[in-house]
Amino acid sequence: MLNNRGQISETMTWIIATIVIVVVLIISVYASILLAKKTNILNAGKILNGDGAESSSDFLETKSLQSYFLTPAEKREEAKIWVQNNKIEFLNVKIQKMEEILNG
Amino acid sequence: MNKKGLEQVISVYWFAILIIVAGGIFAMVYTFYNSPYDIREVEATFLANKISSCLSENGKLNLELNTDGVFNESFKNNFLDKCSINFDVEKDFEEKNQFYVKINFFKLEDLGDSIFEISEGNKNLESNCEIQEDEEHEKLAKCMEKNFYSLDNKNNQYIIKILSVVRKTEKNVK
Repeated sequence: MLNNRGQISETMTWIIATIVIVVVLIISVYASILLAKKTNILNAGKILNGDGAESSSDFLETKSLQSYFLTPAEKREEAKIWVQNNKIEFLNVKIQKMEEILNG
Repeated sequence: MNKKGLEQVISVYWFAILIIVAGGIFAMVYTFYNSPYDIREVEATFLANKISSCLSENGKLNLELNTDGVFNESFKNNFLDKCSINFDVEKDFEEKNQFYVKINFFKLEDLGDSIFEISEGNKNLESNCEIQEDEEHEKLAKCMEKNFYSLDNKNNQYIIKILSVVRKTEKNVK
């Protein structure tokens, strides 16, 4: 009788262990499927700006910035409004910083 | 005898667990590495960047495109040659042209009406962008709309809107 009880408890331990192993495996496989879907290389173009915060330095925004500083001073206000309206944060910050430097 | 039998059962059990764990690891690695990288957005961005470099250099519009505020039709007609762009590079697709670009030029003071337009490639892909305005669909072509600010040689201000579309679904989506 005692031997039987010992066998039952041992079997139960193994059954529960098997269930745990299978559940962990299922979770891992599911996680790998989710990770595989999220795989992208879009962050490759991200750089750190001067403040250490991550921001996307867009090629076209850099081009716009270059044109902005070639714009005669009396025409800059319209360009600035366009930047603000389009919420181009990187460009907005860069324009402000550059103007601070230029105006001392 | 009974103990020996139990040991045999446990060794079979261990073998089964080993197979289950190995199978699980194989499934994880297979699913992770078998899904392709979807680089169409990056490709569309590169295409837009390449076009912008061709249209505007050093902050000013290309003189072949715009001289004294007048846009040149011959640049529009030979756009791909002028910008050294070749859309005919993918041989694996049934539908030959997998790219589409549309460039609109707006005066800064009137952003409602495009004053000049250049478009090249497979025009059918443009409808994919309209469909995906609210929700993105993996199997459709990827659209990238970018705009930038530039000047001509008379310091007239322009906003240039570039729409670049890349299909290539078969190679990027499983």
